[in-house]
Amino acid sequence: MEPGKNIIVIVDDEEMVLTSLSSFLNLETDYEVKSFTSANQALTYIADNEIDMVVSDYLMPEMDGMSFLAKVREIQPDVPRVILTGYADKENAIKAINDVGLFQYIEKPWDNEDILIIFRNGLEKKQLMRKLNEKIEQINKAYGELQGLQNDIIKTFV
Amino acid sequence: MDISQTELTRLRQSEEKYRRMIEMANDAIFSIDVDNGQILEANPRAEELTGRALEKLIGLPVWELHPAEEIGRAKNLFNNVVATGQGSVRDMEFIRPDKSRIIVNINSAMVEFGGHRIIQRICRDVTAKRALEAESKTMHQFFEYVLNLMPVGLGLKKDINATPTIVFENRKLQEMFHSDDDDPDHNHWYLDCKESECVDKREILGVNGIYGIEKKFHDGKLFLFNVSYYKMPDETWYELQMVQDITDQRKMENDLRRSNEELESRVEDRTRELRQKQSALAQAEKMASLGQLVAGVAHEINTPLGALKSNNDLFNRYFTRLFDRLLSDDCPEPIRNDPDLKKLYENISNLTAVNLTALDRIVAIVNSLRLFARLDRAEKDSFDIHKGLESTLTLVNHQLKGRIELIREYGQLPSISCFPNQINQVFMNILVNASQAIDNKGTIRIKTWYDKNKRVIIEFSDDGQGMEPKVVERIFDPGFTTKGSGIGTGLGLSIVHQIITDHDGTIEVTSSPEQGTTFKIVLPVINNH
Ligand SMILES: Nc1ncnc2c1ncn2[C@@H]1O[C@H](COP(=O)(O)OP(=O)(O)OP(=O)(O)O)[C@@H](O)[C@H]1O
Ligand SMILES: [Mg+2]
Repeated sequence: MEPGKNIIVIVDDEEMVLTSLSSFLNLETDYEVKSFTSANQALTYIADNEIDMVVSDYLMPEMDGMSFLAKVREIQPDVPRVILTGYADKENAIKAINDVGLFQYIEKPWDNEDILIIFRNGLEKKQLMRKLNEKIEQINKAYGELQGLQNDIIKTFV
Repeated sequence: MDISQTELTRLRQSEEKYRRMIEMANDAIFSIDVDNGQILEANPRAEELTGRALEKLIGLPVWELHPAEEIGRAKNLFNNVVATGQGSVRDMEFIRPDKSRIIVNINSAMVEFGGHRIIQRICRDVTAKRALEAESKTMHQFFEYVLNLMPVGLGLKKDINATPTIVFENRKLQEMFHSDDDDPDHNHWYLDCKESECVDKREILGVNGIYGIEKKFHDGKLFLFNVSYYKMPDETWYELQMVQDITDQRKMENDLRRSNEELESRVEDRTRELRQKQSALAQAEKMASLGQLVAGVAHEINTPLGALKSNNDLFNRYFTRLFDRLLSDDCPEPIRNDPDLKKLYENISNLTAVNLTALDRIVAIVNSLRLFARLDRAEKDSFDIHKGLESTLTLVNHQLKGRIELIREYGQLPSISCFPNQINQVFMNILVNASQAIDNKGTIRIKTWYDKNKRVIIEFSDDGQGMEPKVVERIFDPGFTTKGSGIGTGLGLSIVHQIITDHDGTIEVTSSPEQGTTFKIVLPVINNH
């Protein structure tokens, strides 16, 4: 894995969707695309590797997209989750999206430009989240140090 | 007085004849002494009637023949005849020694007989006759009683072909026609009926006939006269009229008929409604399964469509990039200026452009399908009429294309609250009908506007073959079609009507073979459906 590259996981039971999307992303971006026709295989991968974004089909035979993304959230909560839907009942899909807390949904047939924007935003969000987390960690660390210092001072005087 | 021998003989003979007559007579004959009322002579029939032998009768005062309670009267009768010398006729009773009684009709007369005045009585046994008379009288009274109780008017008159006279009127008839009011109709039932009705009397009188007439009187009362004629053995004609006041009955009959008709038409209405509901239901079910089918198809198509669209886009990008490179100054001259390469570039560019339009068209159709068959039938939604029209038009486009010019005159409309797929169904059915009504080339105009009463109006006009008034009357009936079985189900417009009514809207049609057809749909923005 090249350092600094964003890792995108794509899951769809249809090979043709995976090929199209990954070819597009490979050609147009420098993301590293990992595509899976099986949600379970994707979960195994995610358990072992830090990823930056995940896209899943809505209707799949093995596990439906929503359950899959819910599991991804458990493993890596900060990863932006995107659902890809060809399902006619958009309303229900949107409702589900709100329930699971997704970053975005993409309708089939998708528009490549839209996808680029969504990915860019998603990754940016992830980046910001990471930075935010780093800052929080720094603050916590500083706070911890401060507390240690305080303790030292108290010890000195008591 | 000189009486010759022959004269004497003649007298004797005559006396003998007279005696024999008396002896054989069927009536009891008594000769009675004027002075004391004693019986002087009696014939054998007298013995029979009184139940006494001749020896017992002779010398018996004549009143002794009567029962005790009549003796006074009997004496009076005798005394009167004696005093006045005049005859008398009356009925009295004889009592016999065995106490049995008979009624006798007594004819008394004073006669001179051989210089003596005597009373002669002829007594006829009328017991049976009187009993018969009494019985007949009772019968008569009984019938009169019964006839008076009859709820119909009964009148009998005789001599109807000479001078009619009333023989009998029962009480009901009198009530009907002899009431106190001055209405002339209410008098003379017999004259009225006989003279004013156009019955050929001679014809009727020729046979024993019966006929009925209804007569309406000035006061609105309606009477039914049943008139029958009888010719009695003595050649006199009788007419019996049975008169019924059928005013109430007729009114009831009319009411009944009317309510019957009302009922029938109500049943008819309900049946039609039911049939409409049924066909709407069948259609709704069809639409529901169609909706699911369409949704499934849309989903299935969208996946390969997504791949195709994405790839085409990608192909286009890199193809352009590739040629940009090939045609750039960096490239060696023979390649850069190869005319075959240029031609290739142009052609492929054109083809990818076509691919893009074709794909966009597929996307639009699938979207229309999805919009058309939205699965949100359970809930009412706010609906953009124009979007509905457009998605429906996309679906019927193949029927219109090249043949029919579409003119849209869309006004400003608010969203309306409705079941979108149902309203789309309405548009679809009307548009399909319109396109079918246009034989060759023609125009369909869709006009929409919003009126002051917060109603949305959608008007579809076509310049197709139009309809005769007879057809227009029936187009909303379920199953009515002019398209022949197998082609049209005739359900289209009945469903349209059902859906519009369910949305508290109205639909009107104007049509003629010259002008084509216009359907005007009015929908409230908010309905209680
Ligand atoms: N725009 C129109 N112009 C002329 N006639 C029409 C028009 N619309 C309807 N009709 C007449 O009304 C009839 C009933 O229409 P409806 O849509 O109910 O049934 P259909 O079209 O005959 O059958 P289906 O809708 O099942 O194809 C048609 O058969 C046709 O005669
Ligand atoms: Mg029709």
